[in-house]
Amino acid sequence: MTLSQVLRCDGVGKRFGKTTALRSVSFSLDEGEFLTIFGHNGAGKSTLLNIVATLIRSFDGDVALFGGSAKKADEDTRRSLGFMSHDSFLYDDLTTYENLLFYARLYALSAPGDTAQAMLARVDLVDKSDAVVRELSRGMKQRLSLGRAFLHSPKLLLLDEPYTGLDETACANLNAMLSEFTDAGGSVLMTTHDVDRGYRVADRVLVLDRGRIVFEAETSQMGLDEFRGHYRDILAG
Amino acid sequence: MKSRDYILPALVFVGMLVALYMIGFYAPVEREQGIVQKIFYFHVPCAWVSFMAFLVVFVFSIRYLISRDKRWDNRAAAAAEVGVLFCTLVLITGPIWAKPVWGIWWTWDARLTLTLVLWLIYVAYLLLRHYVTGDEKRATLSAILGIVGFIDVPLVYFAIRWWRTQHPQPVFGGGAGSGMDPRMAATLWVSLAAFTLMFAYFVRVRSRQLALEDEIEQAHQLADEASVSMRGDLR
Amino acid sequence: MLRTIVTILWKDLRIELRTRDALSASFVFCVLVLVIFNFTLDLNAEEARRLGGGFLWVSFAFGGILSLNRSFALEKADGCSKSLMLAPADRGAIYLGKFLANVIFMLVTQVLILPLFAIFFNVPILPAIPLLVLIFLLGSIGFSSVGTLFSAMAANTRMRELLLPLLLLPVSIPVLLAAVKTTQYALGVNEDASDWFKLLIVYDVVFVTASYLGFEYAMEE
Repeated sequence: MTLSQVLRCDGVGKRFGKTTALRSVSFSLDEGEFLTIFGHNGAGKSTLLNIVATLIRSFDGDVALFGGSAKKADEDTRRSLGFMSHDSFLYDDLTTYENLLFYARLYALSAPGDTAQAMLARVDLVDKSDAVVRELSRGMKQRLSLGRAFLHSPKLLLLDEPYTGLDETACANLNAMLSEFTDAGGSVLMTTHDVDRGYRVADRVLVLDRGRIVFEAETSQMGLDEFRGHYRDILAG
Repeated sequence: MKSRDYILPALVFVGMLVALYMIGFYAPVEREQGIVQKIFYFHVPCAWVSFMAFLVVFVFSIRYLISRDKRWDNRAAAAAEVGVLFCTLVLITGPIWAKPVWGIWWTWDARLTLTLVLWLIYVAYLLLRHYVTGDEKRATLSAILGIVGFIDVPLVYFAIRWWRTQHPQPVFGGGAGSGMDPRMAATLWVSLAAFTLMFAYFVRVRSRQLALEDEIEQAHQLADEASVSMRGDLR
Repeated sequence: MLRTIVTILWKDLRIELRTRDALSASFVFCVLVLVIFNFTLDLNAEEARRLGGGFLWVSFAFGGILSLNRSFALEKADGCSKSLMLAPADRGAIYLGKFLANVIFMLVTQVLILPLFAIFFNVPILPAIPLLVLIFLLGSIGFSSVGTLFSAMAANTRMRELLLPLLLLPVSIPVLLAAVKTTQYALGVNEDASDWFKLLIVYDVVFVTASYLGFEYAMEE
């Protein structure tokens, strides 16, 4: 494993009783790279992400995270991971500030109060710092959720269908923060079925079909239209 | 089945026949209670077996959490089901015995109450399994309950015993060494052995059944995959 | 580790202070149980003193289940239990944080109910208050220890509200019995409850330990 490899999956497989979610999935992710995984619902994308996030501990094959096995992931490994999905991970009855403060403390950041304040400013919610999450609009909740994901400056960010339910502005915000993140050396692994958005932001793309990788491409080498064609064929097959 | 698989069921069959003969003809009829007292030879072994079952669930639950091998979960589930079965029999034979002898259906006697509480804990175990979706989650959560439930047993025992010393009630069956006729003791031991063998056999059959269900699912899985890749090749 | 416990405890207390959901629900429920006992049993003061320990702990058990359910319902909402598992925090510490919050909620409810009990049933409690509060604390620790573990487990299933009482009540019989007997002693009914105090303490130690160790497994997705 090369020094700049942040993640490597080797022959990862996972069965849930009756269904096989993943079959012999192998790929790697380098530092600063942005990898998008496409696939229809049920293709295994969420399962793969949960395995990489160390939420699922028993699976076939190997996952190497920051040089260590994901199966033996400890607190240090989790410290370097960030996660975002359609779940907001926010407590409805805490204020925006309290939510960020909670996570800052949970992640043992050095100046939790200041970090929380700074992130509130970054996602433009300072004027709502005393508002409970229940009272926020959807767009504001999404911004807060985003702030929460970046709060502890992870090395690897895992995004599970992040564009679902986001409006144009919110998508633009997300993409802006993501490119800032990768420019600073962070790596991103994203799953989505939004072809346009998912392709444009990525360095590389994979397609999962019924738990197997059936297609790989570098976005610099293949145009969006060409990829769309391939993807349509895969979904139809 | 291999030929040595027949040993256990054969032993169960023979053991039960011997036990039934001894219960019916060898053991003397008790002076005070009459023939009803012979329920004792079913009641006590059922209780013994159900306690043993829950020890088995405890051990298998630990083994599952350590190894994550589904076979241990199958065996734990099988032992719990069989345990609940025998526990139910204790709770049924108890009143059947109590009514003609003491004139009441139920006494909050320490042993019977303990059995009732155990029954509740292990029925909860079965309900938990029923309501959890996902094989691994079900196995993990059941294992936790199997361990916690068993740890609770000594505490329940002491709690109930101290609670009952304040209200003495007729005690079922006396103690093992309460001056039983040696023929009764012998019959009891044989019956215990027969029931234990039956327990082992039931657990074995049931866990094999669960394992077979897993194998069938996997076979379906492989068949699905084969048809998927065939379709892919044909394209 | 300690920081994690405090963080989780602070979060649960903060939410409760703001919404008062768990406390108000369990308080009202406890009152209802006591009132129903009063109607259905129609006791005089002496009988009430004798049986009071039982009434109190039946109401505390059911009220406690309400607040335990809430404890994990708010984690399951919006995927927060997943974010807890993703965090670099010791799982045992997460357990202890939630466990302590649950103990506090139970204890507060009980302390509020006690004067109402004394009034409804005309039972003199004044000299026994310190002892009663100690018993409430020990009983709440025992009940919440397994309760927090089982609540996490039940939250992971599709019948969470139904499953928690089914799992918790049988297993908590020893601590409930011990709590009732010691409460009766405090109210002047029993002569000697030293065995029951010992049982309370043993139960607390055993099950806080067991639940602390088992919690990680209960939180798996």
